[in-house]
Amino acid sequence: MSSPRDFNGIVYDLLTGRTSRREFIKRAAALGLSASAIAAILAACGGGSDDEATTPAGGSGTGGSAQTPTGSGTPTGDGSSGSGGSGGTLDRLVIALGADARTLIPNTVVDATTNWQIENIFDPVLRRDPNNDFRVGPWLGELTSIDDLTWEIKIVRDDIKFHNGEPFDAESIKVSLEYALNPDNNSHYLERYQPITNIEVVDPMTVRLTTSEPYPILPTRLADLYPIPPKYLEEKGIEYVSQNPVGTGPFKFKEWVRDEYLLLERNPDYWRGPVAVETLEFRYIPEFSSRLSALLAGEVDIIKDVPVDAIERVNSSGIARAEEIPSSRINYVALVNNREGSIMADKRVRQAINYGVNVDAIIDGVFQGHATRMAGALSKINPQVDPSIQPYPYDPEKAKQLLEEAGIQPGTEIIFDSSQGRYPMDTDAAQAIAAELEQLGFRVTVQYNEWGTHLDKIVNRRTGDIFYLGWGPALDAEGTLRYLFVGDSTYSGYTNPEVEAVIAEASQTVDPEKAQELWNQVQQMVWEDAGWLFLWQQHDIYGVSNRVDWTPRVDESLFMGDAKPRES
Amino acid sequence: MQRFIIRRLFHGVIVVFLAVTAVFFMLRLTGDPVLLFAPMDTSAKDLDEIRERLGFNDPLWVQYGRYMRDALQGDFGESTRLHRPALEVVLERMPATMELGMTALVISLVVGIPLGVLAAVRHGSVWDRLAGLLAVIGQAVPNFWLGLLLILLFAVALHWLPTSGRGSWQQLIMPATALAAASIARYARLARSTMLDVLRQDYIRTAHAKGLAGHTVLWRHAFKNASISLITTTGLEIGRLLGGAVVIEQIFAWPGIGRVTVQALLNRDFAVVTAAVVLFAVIYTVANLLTDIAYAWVNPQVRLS
Repeated sequence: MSSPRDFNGIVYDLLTGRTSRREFIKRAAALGLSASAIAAILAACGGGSDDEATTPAGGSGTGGSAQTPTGSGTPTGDGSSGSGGSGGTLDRLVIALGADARTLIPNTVVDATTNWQIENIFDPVLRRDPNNDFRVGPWLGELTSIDDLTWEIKIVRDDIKFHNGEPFDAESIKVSLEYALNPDNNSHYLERYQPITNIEVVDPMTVRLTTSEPYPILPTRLADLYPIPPKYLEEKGIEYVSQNPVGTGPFKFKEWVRDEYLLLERNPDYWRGPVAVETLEFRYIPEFSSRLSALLAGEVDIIKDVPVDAIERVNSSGIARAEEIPSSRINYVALVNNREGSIMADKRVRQAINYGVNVDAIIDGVFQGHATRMAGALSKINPQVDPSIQPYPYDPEKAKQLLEEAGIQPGTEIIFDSSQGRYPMDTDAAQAIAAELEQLGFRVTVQYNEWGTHLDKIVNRRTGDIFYLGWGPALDAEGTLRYLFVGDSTYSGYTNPEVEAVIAEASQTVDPEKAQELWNQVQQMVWEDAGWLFLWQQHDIYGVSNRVDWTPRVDESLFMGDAKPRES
Repeated sequence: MQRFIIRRLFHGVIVVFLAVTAVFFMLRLTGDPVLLFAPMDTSAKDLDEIRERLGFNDPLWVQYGRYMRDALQGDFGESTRLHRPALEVVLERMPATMELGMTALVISLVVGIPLGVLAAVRHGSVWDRLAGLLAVIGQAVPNFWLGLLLILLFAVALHWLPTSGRGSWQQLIMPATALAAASIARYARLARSTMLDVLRQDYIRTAHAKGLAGHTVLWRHAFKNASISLITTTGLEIGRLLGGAVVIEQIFAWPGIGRVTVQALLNRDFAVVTAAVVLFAVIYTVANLLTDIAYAWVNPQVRLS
């Protein structure tokens, strides 16, 4: 076991502010450091300094004989983890997912289920930081903007290795980007990395990227880049690597049986120090009620998307609890204004719908409060939201007046397309919205579509006048506003050339403050013009076993690097 | 006999051909698969490139012709989602589905037939009424609901059996039972009515009159004759079990063909769905052929020609 490295990991975390002082003390104690040594390090690191230290210079001197808690990890039988203290381990953690991974080679498919598994085997170049509003921050590397077209990635440490021993260096970043950019590999990321025109390895710790145009969304894009080992990829070939992944992450690949399970084991040499989970299993159970049963039977430890009416059952089971977090995914009703002859082309109609639908009441009634209202097109937890925007007040009188001004006769028909089973409670929500619209005098026909059909209708513009949709993870302005409101705008159903012009400018602006001003402007325009019926962020509700301490993330990530046994 | 088999095989080919054709066109009316596997922020231009590459932009009949040409050479296309040959994706699930289906069939035979025979022999008794009740329940209860109920009782409440998955024999019990329930009921009802029929025949009375032992009459004379109709239903029963497995595999996370088909359907993974339909059609045809052969073997009066 590599004690100096574990030690480096926690000191690094402390230095970069990823670990609180209290947490540091816990982890250092678990490594076997004496109290005086811990105090000395804390003093040396300076209390809560914010400066971005690079590598923590080898962890000199102190605590040379630190020991990892691995070998003698607390034995956990089946059920309660009997661990005494905070340094304990979980011998096994099982996450039930509805579907298998599509591949285990990263940088290929954009698919949440696939990514939840890959992110435990691989580390991203940059990562969203839960302690910093989920903004993109350093992980394997740190990104600096040199000028509008040039960016530099500095690798944070020189001793990071892949699971097969291959060193992680600048070359691996280059090879991984080139892999995604190669059209033969059919990567979904190709389009996202396309503005990158040159990838230069400056030295083993530095990569310089040149883009064809200012590309401020690059940090977000690099949070999706998971380096793969170049030699391994070359020797074994893509086909083999996509079934036998080797990364730098907290877990090593052990076994993958399609449609049954993926088995990972702890990486004892993890550069950030070994994690608390020894064996991580993803088990595929397609039916939701069976996943819930497996949780309640104590067979699995984490499930996603517990329906609001099952929360009580989970909490009272004595075996698991519901953990809830507002998701970054946003839900809205598109008011299709970009189609000939649509009544939604009239701004007054769109505003009337925003005034006339009692969104808060639906959140209370349908979601029993487990959703958070959105004021404009971005959610509250989006770091780039304009906080000055307030939701449309519920004012049915004003709504009716606006409709009258627009010449809308009572009894005018609206066809409303909704997904069925794609989002929690989607059909109930659609029904409630339809009822509110009928109160305004519309005659509403709701069409419930299976997901594939729903998507097909939206993209081919065969939906009714309005449709229900979610978009996520939506944690930055550009990834949401540009992709929704520019060009075809099929997913937003809303086209406005003035909005598009500002978005075009914003997405070329690298300076964060200037960009923010422009994004605020976009949000205000969309709000004022009532581009959507702005709804809510659903809350992601997880069922988590009582023997596990894990906090869900707004980006729906299932990274288990920070899961621990629960102190009871 | 040989001519019969050849003709039946020929019929089988027609069945498979019609099934593939129907599925091919119906699937393509339900939506664009590219939208389901490409991320939502893919540009219209790129979506179109993907469609072009996969040949979805060609007229339907061109796609159909190409598919049939390849299929005849044993190439059922590649899964758009998994980038693997569709037939391979489906065939590797065969053992799991066979294991589940055969276990369910054995359970239905072993439980259903004795139950029916018992009901016939003890005609009008409590046993008869009990068997009748079980048969009604077995046929009326939807198998997915029964499956969920079994999970709640034996896995969540009693902790006797694991909720789902495949690997140990304990994991086979609930899905096989849930799948077998309707078959048990059908076998019991059929065994009862045919046995009642046979037991009323003159030759049974004669056998009794000759002084043969009761169980000899029952099994050697009565049951052997009743079994002919039981064998004929078995071919159909295999088809029903395969159909039922689609739902049961989903609930019990059983990694078989049914589950892979449902997932492929939701993802509009055309190649996999079609390959699965071909496989189902082949199994069904072969099962029926074997039934007919067994029928002739049990009852020499039947001439296969």
